[in-house]
Amino acid sequence: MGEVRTEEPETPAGCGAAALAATGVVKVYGAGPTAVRALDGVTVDFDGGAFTAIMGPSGSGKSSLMHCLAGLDTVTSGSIRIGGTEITRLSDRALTLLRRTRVGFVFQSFNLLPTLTAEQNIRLPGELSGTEPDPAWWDRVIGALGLAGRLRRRPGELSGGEQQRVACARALVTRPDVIFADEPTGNLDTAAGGEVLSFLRASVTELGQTVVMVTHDPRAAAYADRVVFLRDGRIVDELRDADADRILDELKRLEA
Amino acid sequence: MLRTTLAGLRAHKARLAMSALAIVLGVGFLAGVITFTGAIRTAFFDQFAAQARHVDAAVRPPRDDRPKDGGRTGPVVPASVYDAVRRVPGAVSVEGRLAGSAPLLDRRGRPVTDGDATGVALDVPLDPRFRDFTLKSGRLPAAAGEALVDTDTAAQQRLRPGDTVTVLDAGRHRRRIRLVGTMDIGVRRDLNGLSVLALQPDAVRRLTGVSGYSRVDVAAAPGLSQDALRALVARAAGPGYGVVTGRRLAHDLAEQDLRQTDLIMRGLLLFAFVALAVAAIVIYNTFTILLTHRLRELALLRCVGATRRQVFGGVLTEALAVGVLGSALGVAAGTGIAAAMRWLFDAAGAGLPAAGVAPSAPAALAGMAVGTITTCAAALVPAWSATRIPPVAALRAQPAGQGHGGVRGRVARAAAATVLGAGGIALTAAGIPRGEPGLFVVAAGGGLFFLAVLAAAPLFVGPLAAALARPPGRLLGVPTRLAAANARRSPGRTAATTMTLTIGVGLMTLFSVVAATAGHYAGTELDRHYPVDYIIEPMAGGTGGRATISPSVAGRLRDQPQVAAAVEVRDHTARVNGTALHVVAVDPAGYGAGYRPRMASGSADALRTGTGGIALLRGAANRLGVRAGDTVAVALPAHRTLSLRVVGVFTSRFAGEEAIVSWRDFTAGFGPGGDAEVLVKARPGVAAPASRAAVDGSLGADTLLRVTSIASYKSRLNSALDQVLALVAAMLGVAIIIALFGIANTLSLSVIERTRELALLRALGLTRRQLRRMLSQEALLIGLMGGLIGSAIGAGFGWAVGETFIRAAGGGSGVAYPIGRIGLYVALAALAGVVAAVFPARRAARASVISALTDP
Repeated sequence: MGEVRTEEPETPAGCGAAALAATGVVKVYGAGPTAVRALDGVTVDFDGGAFTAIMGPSGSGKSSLMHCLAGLDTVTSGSIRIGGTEITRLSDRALTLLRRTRVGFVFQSFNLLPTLTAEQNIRLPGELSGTEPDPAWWDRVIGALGLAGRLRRRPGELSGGEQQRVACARALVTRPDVIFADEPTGNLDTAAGGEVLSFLRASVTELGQTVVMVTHDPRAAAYADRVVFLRDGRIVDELRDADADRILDELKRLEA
Repeated sequence: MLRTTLAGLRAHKARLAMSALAIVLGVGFLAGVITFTGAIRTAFFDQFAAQARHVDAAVRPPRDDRPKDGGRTGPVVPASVYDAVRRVPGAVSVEGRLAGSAPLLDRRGRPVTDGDATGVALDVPLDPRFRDFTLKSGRLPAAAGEALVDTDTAAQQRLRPGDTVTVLDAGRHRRRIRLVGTMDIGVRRDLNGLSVLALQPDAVRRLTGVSGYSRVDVAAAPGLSQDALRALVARAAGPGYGVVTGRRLAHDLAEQDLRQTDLIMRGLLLFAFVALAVAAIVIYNTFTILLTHRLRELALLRCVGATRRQVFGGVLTEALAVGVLGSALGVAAGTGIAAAMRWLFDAAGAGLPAAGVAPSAPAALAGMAVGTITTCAAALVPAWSATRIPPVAALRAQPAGQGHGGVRGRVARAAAATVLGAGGIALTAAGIPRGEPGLFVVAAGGGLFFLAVLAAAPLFVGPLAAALARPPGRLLGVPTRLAAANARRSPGRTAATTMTLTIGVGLMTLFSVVAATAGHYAGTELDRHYPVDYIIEPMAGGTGGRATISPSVAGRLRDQPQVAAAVEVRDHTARVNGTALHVVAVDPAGYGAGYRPRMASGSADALRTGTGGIALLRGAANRLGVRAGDTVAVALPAHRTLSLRVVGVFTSRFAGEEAIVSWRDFTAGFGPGGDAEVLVKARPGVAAPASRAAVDGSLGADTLLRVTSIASYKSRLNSALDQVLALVAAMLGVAIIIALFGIANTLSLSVIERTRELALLRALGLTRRQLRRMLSQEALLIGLMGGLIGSAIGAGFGWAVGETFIRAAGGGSGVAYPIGRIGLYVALAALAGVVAAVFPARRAARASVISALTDP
C-alpha cells in the first residue's frame, strides 16, 4: 500500500497525516467450529482530505471493516486509530462520545429520525455533545447541499435524494475527522445518486473532509480518489483515480 | 387458517403475554370478588342455619313504623301472644326469647361500648335446642346471679369464668354478676361489637326490665312440616306479627347481616369492572400495535389468497386464544386474590364470619366468560383494521408508523368527542340540582364525558406532550425532546396507553375530592352553625332503647367558670300534619351561642322566646307541602293538637332534627323531661384539658353519658374517610397495575418497532444512558399525561358529585380539593410510567447497534 501524500497537491492544510488507520484488524463472529473470520488481518491507512471507497464481492467483509473503523463494532484483535486516538480499547461510552464529534455517518437507508425536522436531524449530533455549529460553516454546508428551503420539513416530506443530502449535511456539520458512508446511493435513482456522490466529492475537494465509503457500485466508487478492494477479509488490491470501467474490471477479476 | 393463527400465536407469544397478563389480573380480580363474596355468603348462611337448626317457626314483633315515643325498648312480642302460641297443637317446644339493655361496666366503672352503644343481655334458652351460641369455656348459668359473656368482650376486658362484673340494671343501679363461662355468638350485625351477656330468662327480665319477647321460637312435633306449623302459629298469634318458618328465619337473619356486606361486594364488583375496562384498553392497544408490526405478514396472507373474512377470523381466533388462556389463569389467580381481600377486610376490622376461600364454579364461569368476551371485543376493531390491509402492502417497504388517521378521521373523532362531551356535561348539569338521586345522572354524565376524552385523546396528546416537554426539553437537552417527539408519533397509541392510567387516577381523584369535601363540609358546618366544643349524649342501649340526660347536668355545667354556654336540646317524634317528624327544641339561652341553624327562608328568632312557631327542614317542608307563613298541626300526647305557624325553613341539621319548636311550646306539649343532648361551649382562652375536666366533672353520677369533643369528632371523621380512601386505593390498585403492564407493553413494542432508529441514534452519539433516559422520559410523559388528564377529570367530576351532595344537604361551604394529595397522584402516575419503562429501556440499551443497522 503506497503513500499518496505527495501526489495530492490540492489537498488543504492538515492533510497527509492518516486520518484513520487500521493495523492488523481481525474480526471473528461466533466461536468454535461455526466461527466466521470476517476480517483477517486488515492493515490500511486512510489519508485526511481524501475520498476512499471500499469495494469487494458480497461477504468480503467491507461492511464489517467499516463498522469496526467507525467504532460501531469491536475488533477481535488489532488496532484502529481515528485522528490519533486508539479506539479499540475505549469503553462504549467513550466510543459514543467520539462518534458524536469525530465521526459522521451516511447510511444506505433510514438515516433520519422521522420525528425530527431536517434541521433538527442535522443539528442532532452537535446537540448531543452540546456544541453549536459554526454559523459560517453551517451556511456553507447547507448552501452546498441546497437544503436552505427544506430545513423545516420532516423526513417523510422529503424525497429520497433530499433525505440523503440531509444525512450528508448532518455528517458534515460537526467537521468530523472521518465521514463514513455505507452504500449512500443504494436506494436512490441514478440522478439523485449522482448528486449525493458529487456532494461527497465536493466535501472532500472543497471542504477538506475525509470520506470513507463502502459501495458495490463501480460508478459510485469512481468518484473516489482511491479504491480499496477486499476479499475474504483481506485487502487484496487498490486503485487510484480509476474510472468505473477499470473498477468493474478489477471487481470481475476478484470475483473470478 | 387455524394453523397460520397458531403459528402466529407461537411467534408472538412473548408480546401477547403482556396483554394476557392484563386479562389475568382483570379476571383474577373479578373471580376473586365472586369467590370472596360467595365464601362470605355461604359462611353467613351456614352460621344462621346452624343457629336456627331446631327452630321450625318463629314469631317476630310487628314492624316498627310507629313514631318513637321515647320508650326504652323497641317493639316486642307480648306475653299474651307467647301464651297463645304455647297452646298451638304440634308445637312441642315454645321459647320466648329475650333481649334487653344491660350496660356492662369495665374495671374503672365506665360502660363498655363499641364507641356508641352499651351492652345487652340475652336469655339462655331453657330448651337447649334453641341455643344460638356456642359455649366456649365454663358452664351455663345455674342461678340468677350468673352469666356467660361473649368471647370478644371477654378477650377485650380480660374476663374469665369466675370473675365478677358490674352491670347497670333498668334503674341504673349497679348489679354484681358472676361470670361462669364464655360463649361464641358468631357474627351478628345486631350485636356486632357490643358486649353480650347471657343469663337465665328470669334474670334477664329482672335485670333489664323487658316486658315482652324479642322473638318466640317454636319447635314442631315430629312429622309436622315447618310450613304447617307456621300456619298454625300464625293463626294463634293473630295479625300484625311476623310469623316465619325456621328456614325463612335463618335466611332472613343472614340476609339482614349480608345487606351491608353486599353493599361492599357491589362496590368490589364495580372496581373489578374498572380493572377489566383498563385491561380491555391494554388489549386493544396491544393488538393494534402487533398488527401494525405484522402488516406485511397479513398482506402476504392476502396475496396468497386469504379472504378478508379469513384474516378477520384469524385475528379473532388469536384474541380468543389469548382470552381463554388469560381468563383460565385469572380464575386460578382469583382464589389467591380472594384470600388477599379476606386479609384486607379482616385488617380493616369488617367483622366477617370465618370462611375459607375455595375456587367456586360461579367464579370460574363468570371469569372465563367475561375475560374471553372482553378480550375478543377489545380485538374487534384491530381485527377489522387488519382486513383493510391491501395485499400490495406485502411488497412495499417498511410501513410508516400510525398516522393521524387522516383529516376525515380527525374530524369524525372531534365530532364524536364534542357530542359525547356535551352530552356528558349536560347530564351532569342536570343531575347536580337533583340531590342524591341525581348522583346516578352525574355518574352517567361522568362516564359519557370520559368516553369523549377517550375519543378526543389522540387529537390532544401530541400537543400536550409537546407542551409538557418544552420547558424541561430546553434544560435537559436532546433525549427529552426526542422523548416528547416519540410520544407524539403515534397519537392513537399514546392516547390509549395514557387513558389506562387516566381511569385509575381519575377515580382516585374523584373519591379524594368527595372525601375531602365531606370532611370539610362537616367541619365548617359544625363551626358555622353549631360552634360548640363538646357534645354530651346518652349512650344508646344495645337494643335500641333510648335515654335522656338529667337537666341538672346542664345546670351544673353553667356553674363552671370554664364553660361559656351549655345548650340543652330536647327532642320527640311527633306527627306534623300526619307525618312523623323528629321535633327538636333548644333552650332560649342556647340560640346563637351554640345552635344557629342555617335558614333558607324566614327566621328562627321567633322560636327563641316566643311561642306558636315552628321551623321545618327543607326536605320536611317539601314533604308536607308547606311554606313559611303556613300553619301546621302537631299531634301531642293524649290526643291533643297544637297549631303552629311555620316561621322559617332551615337546611342544616345537627341532631337529625326535621322541625324546631320553641322551648316553651315543647315543654307545654310534651311535658318537662330530660335533655336529648347538651352542647357545651368552653370559655374562650380556656385550655382544652381544663374545659374537658370541667365537663367531665359536671356529669354527676350518670355513667351512661358520653362526652364527645368536636375536635376529636372531626379527626375521627377524617380518619374514617381516610380509611375508606385507603380501601378504594387498594381496589383501584389492580386497575393501575394493569395500566402499568399496558405502558410497559406499549413501550416494549415501540422499542422493537424503532430498533433501527434507536441504533441510528446510538451511531450518531447517543449514549446508552441517554437512550435509557429517553425511553424512561417517554414513559414519564405518558404517566404524567395520564395523571394530569385523570386528575383534571376526577377533580371536575369530584366537584359535580360534591356539589350534588352539598345541594342535597341544603348548601353551605363549597367543594374542597386536596391539592397535595391530587398532586401526589399525578407524581405517582409519572413515577409509575418510569417504573414501567425500566425493562423495555434496559433491553433497548443492551441491543447491538450493528445488528440493527445491518438487518434489512
